[in-house]
Amino acid sequence: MFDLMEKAVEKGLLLGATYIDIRIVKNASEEIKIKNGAVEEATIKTDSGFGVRVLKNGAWGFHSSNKIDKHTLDQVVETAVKIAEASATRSKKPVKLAPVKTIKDKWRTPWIKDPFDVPFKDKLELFLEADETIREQSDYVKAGMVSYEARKIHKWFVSSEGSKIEAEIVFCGVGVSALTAKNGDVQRRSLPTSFGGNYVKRGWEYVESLNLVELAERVGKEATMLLDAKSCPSGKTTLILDSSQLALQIHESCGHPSEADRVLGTEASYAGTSFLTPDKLGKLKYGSEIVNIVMDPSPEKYPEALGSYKYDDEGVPVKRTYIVKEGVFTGYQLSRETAVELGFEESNGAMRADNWNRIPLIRMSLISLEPGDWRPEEIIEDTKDGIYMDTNRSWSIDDKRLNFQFGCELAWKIEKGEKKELLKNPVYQGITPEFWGNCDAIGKDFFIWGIPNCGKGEPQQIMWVSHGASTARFRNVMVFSGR
Amino acid sequence: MKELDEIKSWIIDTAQTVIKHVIENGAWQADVRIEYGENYLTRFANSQIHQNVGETYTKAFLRVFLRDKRFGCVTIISRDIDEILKAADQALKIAKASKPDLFFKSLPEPDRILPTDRKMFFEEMIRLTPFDRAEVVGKVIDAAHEAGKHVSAVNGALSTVLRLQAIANSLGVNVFQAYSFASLNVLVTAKNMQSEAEGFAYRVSGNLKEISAEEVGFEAGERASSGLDAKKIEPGDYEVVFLPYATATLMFHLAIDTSARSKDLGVSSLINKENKKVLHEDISVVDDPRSEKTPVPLLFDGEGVPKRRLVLFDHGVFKNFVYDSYYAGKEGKKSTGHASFWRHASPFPSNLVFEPGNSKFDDLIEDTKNGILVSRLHYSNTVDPRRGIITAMTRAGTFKIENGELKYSIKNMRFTDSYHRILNSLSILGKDFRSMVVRRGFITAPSIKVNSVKFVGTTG
Ligand SMILES: [Zn+2]
Repeated sequence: MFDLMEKAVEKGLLLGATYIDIRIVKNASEEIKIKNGAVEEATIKTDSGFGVRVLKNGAWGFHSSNKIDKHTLDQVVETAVKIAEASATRSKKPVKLAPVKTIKDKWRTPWIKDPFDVPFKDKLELFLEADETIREQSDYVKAGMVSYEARKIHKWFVSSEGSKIEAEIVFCGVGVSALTAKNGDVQRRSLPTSFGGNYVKRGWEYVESLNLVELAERVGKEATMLLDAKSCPSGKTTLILDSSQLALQIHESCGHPSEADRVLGTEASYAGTSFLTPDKLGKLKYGSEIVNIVMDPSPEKYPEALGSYKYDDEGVPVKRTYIVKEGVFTGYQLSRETAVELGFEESNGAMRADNWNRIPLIRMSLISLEPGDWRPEEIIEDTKDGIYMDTNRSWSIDDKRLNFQFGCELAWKIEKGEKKELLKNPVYQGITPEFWGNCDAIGKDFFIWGIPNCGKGEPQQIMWVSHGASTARFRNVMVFSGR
Repeated sequence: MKELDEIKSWIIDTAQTVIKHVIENGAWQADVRIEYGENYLTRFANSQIHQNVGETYTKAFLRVFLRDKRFGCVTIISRDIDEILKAADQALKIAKASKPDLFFKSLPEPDRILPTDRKMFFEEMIRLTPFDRAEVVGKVIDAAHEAGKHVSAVNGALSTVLRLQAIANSLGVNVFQAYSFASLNVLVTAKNMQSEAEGFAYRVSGNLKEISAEEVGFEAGERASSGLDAKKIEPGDYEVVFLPYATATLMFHLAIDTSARSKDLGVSSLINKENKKVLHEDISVVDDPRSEKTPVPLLFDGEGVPKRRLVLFDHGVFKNFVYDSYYAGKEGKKSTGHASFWRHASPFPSNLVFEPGNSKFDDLIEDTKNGILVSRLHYSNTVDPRRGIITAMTRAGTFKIENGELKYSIKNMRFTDSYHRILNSLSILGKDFRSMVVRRGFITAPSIKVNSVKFVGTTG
């Protein structure tokens, strides 16, 4: 494989490219969705292809094809070079890349049971049992749903700077959810979390480790209970978030705004820009002193985290970086190009593409809120009056990542240190630095959540990322009922 | 052209070969869609091209059903017939290991495709070079900068798409279509000493030649320039004038609710509302590939079912959900021609048109006493699906209107409100309209003036 790629790299250099990299990617994925006892989706997807990224005249060109042979590689390299030449006609500043070590390596993620080797029948049996369990919980269950996806990626990277990297990645995840309805009210409950469940870089052993049927029973029961719950009250109060909702809060209000490409305006037209502008680096009070948010994708520490990896798609080894340290905004997620633009010596390795036909963009990896020393129960016991919210139901945040609104699946009224009453349709709203500034307790129940569906870029790319988070408390937050 | 003709025959023949193969190997029914695509996208930011990408692919999606209604699906990106047939065998294997879905009745029978006199495929779109795209982008950037001296960055993307599609099923459906389109989105940033503002403009057309780069650049540049020095106003209940870009987002949420899948899941706000007045009586919404207001007429859906005009709302009265063969079968109805292209059982409108009215844009502003002009919505999401409650931020041009006049620029606001309530409070329908690419279809919508939207927050 590398031979074919190296020849194409040479061809690009002959055509005047000053930098060229080629990625070949082979993918397999399996998606199963069960809805009310029926198989709603049972799809196997396979694809392979390559993408060529070149710099010529100081500008980028990229082209790709699903036909992997010498002739097509040559054609695609030629087109990529032409595209770069065209880009250069409307570029003001030549692209500069931060230096990177030459890497020759092969790495893989740590799966035990290859999900593609597990008989389809066995998977189906488990999922159908879970689905049936959901619907057994009450007559109000309108839909039981189970969704599962596994993916296997084999990729090769070669650059004109001499790097040759091969990687094999396997990940999978599963989730159950119940929809209940009564008098025009609809409630949803999902576990381990919503929007498809939780994902990890492990094999089928992960699915086996979750007691899916037990989770199914819980979602059915809780979604039914929610129908008779009171609506979340309105007003400013103390808010406690469970770790899965907090993971999404980190994702939207810290992960996205610290992506250097957003900061430099190159995502402006689509997702937006960022309030974390370079003049604020090292100065802005992002949160309270107990808030430490770190990017740490190295597979040495958390090999199973969905967002962990050894090298990014520019061949850069990952580097641990504090985005927020003791409440102060201190770092960005970088590419080789943005590192130069923002005055850093090197990239910290945040560039990933979701497939062979897409260019790498700055993507979140494993970005976590470091744990505190509270037991989650202690946080509740220590709260006189407040609301506890669990599991995301809806999200929305502005283009600079300041004004956000999140809805959760369920909430509890906290009174005198106790969970008193179940509440439905809870929503909270805030402004990012104000919200994190009011964080006064972080739990030690650190858990890494894997999110398989973060969208970014044009054409859109869907990336798998993860966030470590714990139960945490925030004072003076506006809450209301989404009803 | 010669190459595309070869590809056309190849995908049509391959579709037939695949169907024959799975029927011979035990499938009761099967369908396959094969698409060859060429996509190019030139992205610009800070007034220069920074990403410039292309892809060519051949992708197939195959579904096989056994007599007892077990089924399996495969998607494969490949131009290799052996690989595709291997994937087909995998679909059979999945089906055999699966469980019957008794709601499934049958794939659609062949039906006559209604002709269109509109052109779907423009030859000049094939011949576009990267330099042609760079030239268009250059014109956008220059025009935007000419719109105002405070314009600081022109951002956006120009995308060109060619698709050749063949669909075949074991009941005799065997159809082909080719279409092209170009879309251009522009977001301009303006800056002065004390503030920053954005302006947005968008166009889509079957032929890039029909899009005036200068006009789009200028529109976004002008809106950004007039957005400087935004003031903060209190959230609350305001009258609103939505530009077509923002109305289209409301229509996107409405489109989701018209899907038979949303109905089946119990998460549509239109459940039990058929033949009831849901929206203001001036609102009519159709899904019509032959409307001259939709940018690209799609002749058939992902199952090869011919698309016809379907009324979704007639003078505010909700008329129809959109169906594919799966949900149609489940409810004992006929497919309306809205099957998704790459997903089983996920119908969605693809040429949605919210019929414009007769009023000039100025009339909408003049009608407004205490209101807000919303140019575009950002990051909208459903809060309560059964009640049609959505939340979104305004973006790229939010202005205060007082006593019939545009007064000043305001900071972005968040609303959380039911789109039913918003669209029920319609007071005037504009005659200007725009189209947007949404999923694999198009949404067309006019500017509208409504009497009440509940805003719940504002940015700093
Ligand atoms: Zn995201």
